[in-house]
Amino acid sequence: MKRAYLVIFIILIITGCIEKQDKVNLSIVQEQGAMVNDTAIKVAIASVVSPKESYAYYEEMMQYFSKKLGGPVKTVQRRSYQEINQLIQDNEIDFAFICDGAYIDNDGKTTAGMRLLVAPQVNGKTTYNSYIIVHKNSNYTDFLDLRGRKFAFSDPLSNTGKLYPAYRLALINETPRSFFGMDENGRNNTFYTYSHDNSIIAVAEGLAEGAAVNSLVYEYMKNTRPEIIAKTRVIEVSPPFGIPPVVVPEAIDPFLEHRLKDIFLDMDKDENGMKILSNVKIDRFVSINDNAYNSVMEMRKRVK
Amino acid sequence: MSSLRFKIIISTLFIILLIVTGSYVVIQDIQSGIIEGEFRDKGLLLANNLAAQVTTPLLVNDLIEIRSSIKNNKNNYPDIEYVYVTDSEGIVLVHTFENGFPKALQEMAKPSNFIDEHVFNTENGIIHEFDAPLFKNIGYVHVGVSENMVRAQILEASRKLLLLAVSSVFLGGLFAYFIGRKLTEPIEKLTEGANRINKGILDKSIDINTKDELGELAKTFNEMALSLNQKINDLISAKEQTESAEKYLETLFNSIKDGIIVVNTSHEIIKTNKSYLKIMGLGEEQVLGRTCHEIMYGTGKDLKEICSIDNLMQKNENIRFVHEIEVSGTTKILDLSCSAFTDINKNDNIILVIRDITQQKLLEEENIAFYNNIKYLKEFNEEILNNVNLAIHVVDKDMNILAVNDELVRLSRGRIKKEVVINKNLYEVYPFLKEKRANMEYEHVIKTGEIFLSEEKTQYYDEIIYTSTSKIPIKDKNGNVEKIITVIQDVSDRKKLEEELKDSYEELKLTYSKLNELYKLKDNFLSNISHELRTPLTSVIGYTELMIGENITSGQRHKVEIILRNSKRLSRLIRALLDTTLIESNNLQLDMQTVDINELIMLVAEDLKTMASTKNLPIIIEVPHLVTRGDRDRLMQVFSNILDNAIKFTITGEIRITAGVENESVHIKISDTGVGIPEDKVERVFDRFYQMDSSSTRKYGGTGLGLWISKNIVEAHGGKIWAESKNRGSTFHILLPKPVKK
Repeated sequence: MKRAYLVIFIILIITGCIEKQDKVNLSIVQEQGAMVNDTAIKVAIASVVSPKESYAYYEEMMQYFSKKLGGPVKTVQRRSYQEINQLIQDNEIDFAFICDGAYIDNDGKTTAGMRLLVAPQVNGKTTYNSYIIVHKNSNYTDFLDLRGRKFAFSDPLSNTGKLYPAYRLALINETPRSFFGMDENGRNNTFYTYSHDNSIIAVAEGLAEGAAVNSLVYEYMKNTRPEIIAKTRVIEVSPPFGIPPVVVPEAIDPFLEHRLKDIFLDMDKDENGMKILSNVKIDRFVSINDNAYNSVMEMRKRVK
Repeated sequence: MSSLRFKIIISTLFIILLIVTGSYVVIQDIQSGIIEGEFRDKGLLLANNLAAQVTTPLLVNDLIEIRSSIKNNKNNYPDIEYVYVTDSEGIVLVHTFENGFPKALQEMAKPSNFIDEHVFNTENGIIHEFDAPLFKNIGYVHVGVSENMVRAQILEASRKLLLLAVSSVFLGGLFAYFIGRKLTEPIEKLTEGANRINKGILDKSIDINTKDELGELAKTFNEMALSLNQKINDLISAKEQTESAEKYLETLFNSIKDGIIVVNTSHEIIKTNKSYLKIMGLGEEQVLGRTCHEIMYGTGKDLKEICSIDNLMQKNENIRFVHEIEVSGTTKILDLSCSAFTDINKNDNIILVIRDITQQKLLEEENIAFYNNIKYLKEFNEEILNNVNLAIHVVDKDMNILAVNDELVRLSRGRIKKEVVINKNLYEVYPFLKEKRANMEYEHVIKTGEIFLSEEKTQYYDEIIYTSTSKIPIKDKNGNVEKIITVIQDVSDRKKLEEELKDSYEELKLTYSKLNELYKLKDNFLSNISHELRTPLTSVIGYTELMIGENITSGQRHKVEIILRNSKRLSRLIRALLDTTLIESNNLQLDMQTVDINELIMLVAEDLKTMASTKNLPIIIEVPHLVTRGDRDRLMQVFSNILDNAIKFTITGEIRITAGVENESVHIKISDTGVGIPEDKVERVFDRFYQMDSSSTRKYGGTGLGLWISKNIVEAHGGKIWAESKNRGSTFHILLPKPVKK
């Protein structure tokens, strides 16, 4: 009997070391447009009123939509606003949170292939600003002091992160290239971080001497990352602009569009939706029209 | 059956195998852990370094720089399978996959799936993906490192370890063989030794000289064999002693004075000793096999029920009782003690010890009687002690009072109490004793052991008393005085009387001397007057007798005879008075001469013949001629007095006079058949003036002096006179000194 136990013990020791694992195939690569045949409602989040780190809360919002719509809702991510715009125009996504700068094309018109659905209201307003920020310890007090300095833009299509400073320079007949110049290696002193968060960090860490950022993101980060904000200083606040909207493709199913709009507008009326809105610092979603973005259109026309 | 050596070798080998296997597994696991740990540390370090390198390029969106950095890293570390960098949303910015970013890693690229290490198996082997966040989570670096090289290292290490384990098992086997041999060799010797002991060979020791447990065991075996040998010898010796003890017990059993029998549960006697047979007066064959009650209570009855054995068996308590039995016509009292016991065969038996206590009982009865007697004497003594009119106290040699009687309390006029003085010192109770030096008297008694008598006049509690004291020593068996009894008699009254008597005595003495003189005068007077009276009376008698012989008338004769008779009576009276005077004045003179008793008796009888004949009393004389010395007249006076009394007090019958020699004396007996003398008055007939009663004087006449005078005459002869009477008839004995032969 004792011998039997011993044999079992040895077998267990030996076999315990063996572990079966499923093999992962690394040769299968991701195909472009793979989601065409996907029936799920797809949403792209390009620019919102809070930093990217808060995008996790938008996952909750998508689950809320999934419940309300009675089907799956997937998030599609792309690095640049342009890529998102392309997805909307290609009708590959059903709605998207985009920057107001991306909603207005280079001609100062609304971007083709998409239309406004709703816009968030933050702190009772549907407008926001562009902040010109510098490092706290720097001597810059005016945007124009930054001439020849390294400057961070967030995205080429961003309103507050690119269009507004470009517009400010255009007013003095300067372009970013002419105003900020190039470094000793012949590289432009301007660069894109593709994120307002990254722009603020770049200024705080001294990688850029100035940056133009979304005022909502900057204010949001005062609470969530005060150690970074503490290293920066706002030297200029732009006039108010229309807040980044939620858009749908032009070719969207009208029934879906209507349904989506209802859900957005009623979100603050149920408890769960209210809680989600609170997490992303949005009061509610409201209907909005293109007039809200007239100033952006004007700037785009001027910068062009 | 496999040998112990084989078992030890196999067991040791198995243990070694187990240890080596276990060690192999553990070491391999540890080694693998170490290698894998190093691998993991290296991977994480790589990812972190890369994250640091690409932070700035990411912030400035310098994808070329990022690509350059990851390429350099991949080239420097051949283990790196792939590297990719994502932005804060998990969007892949740069990667090293030549054919595009793998779908399988899409999910892992999301920040929400970020962990330090992902492990997954691919066709090229196991890959560990180490992830590191960039500064402030603005992006993430993912480095995939192949495990193949690490596995090769582990395999190589395992091979070496296995070789070492196999070598260890082989060497362990050799070691086990030698150890088994080394260990079992002394055990085999021990086995041989044990077999020898089993066969009884105890004088051969086991030859193991190691200093381990086996050596100790062998030593113990040797000592055990030695001890066993000694114990066997002791057992033989003990057996002999037991046999000796059994003999001794058997002898004791038979020699013990008490009778002992053993009975079984059927009451049958199964063993007896000689004393029992002696007590019961039976032979062994008459006892063994019979029941105890049959012998103790007799046969013919169903006595089992009254026998105590069953009772004893039931209660399991010892029983003792006394039983009377008739043995050969003698009653014997037996004391029986019964006890139950179980013999070595588990049989219940009863042992009865019978003691003949007949003598003891008698002694006890005597003792009880003696005790009662002692008790009576004690009570008697106490009664005497407390009722005698002598004050008594008892002290020990230290003068502590042990006892006092009631009289002492009375003597103390109630000033002391018995219960108070007991155990107190005598001098403490009577302080004046020391003043009177009584302590020296006690010391004298203690020292000499002699009685000390004294009389004291004591000022006793304001009262003068006279005491007569005796201090009597009580000695122990060694003759030493241990107690002193003091007997005090209150002689105060006597002393007073004595003093009074002393005065009276002086007076009496004076009176006595005066009286003596008067007596002498009286005696002289009586002597003279008697003499003077007798002379004329002799003439009267003589002439009267002459007249009777003359020719006178009968009337005259009668008158003359009265004159003669009374004259003679008067003459005798005068003579008696004279004799009395002589006797009282010690002037009785005897004219000693040789006399014939027969002659004297015959003369006296002749004188009184007439008197006797008037009463028709024969006088029978059986007196031989016995010659002695004496006063003829006085002896005749004696015989005459006695014979006269005999005739006088005898009415009918006879008077017999006999004589003989007895013990060199002449014994004369004069017997009559008269009225006799009361027994209580026999002695007194010889007293002066004694008359049996007043009536006898009137009836028989006489002065009451005759026998008194006779007694004095006989005693003056050195003889003796006494009377015997039993109310009817009297015998007067006269014993005169040794006769002289004719």
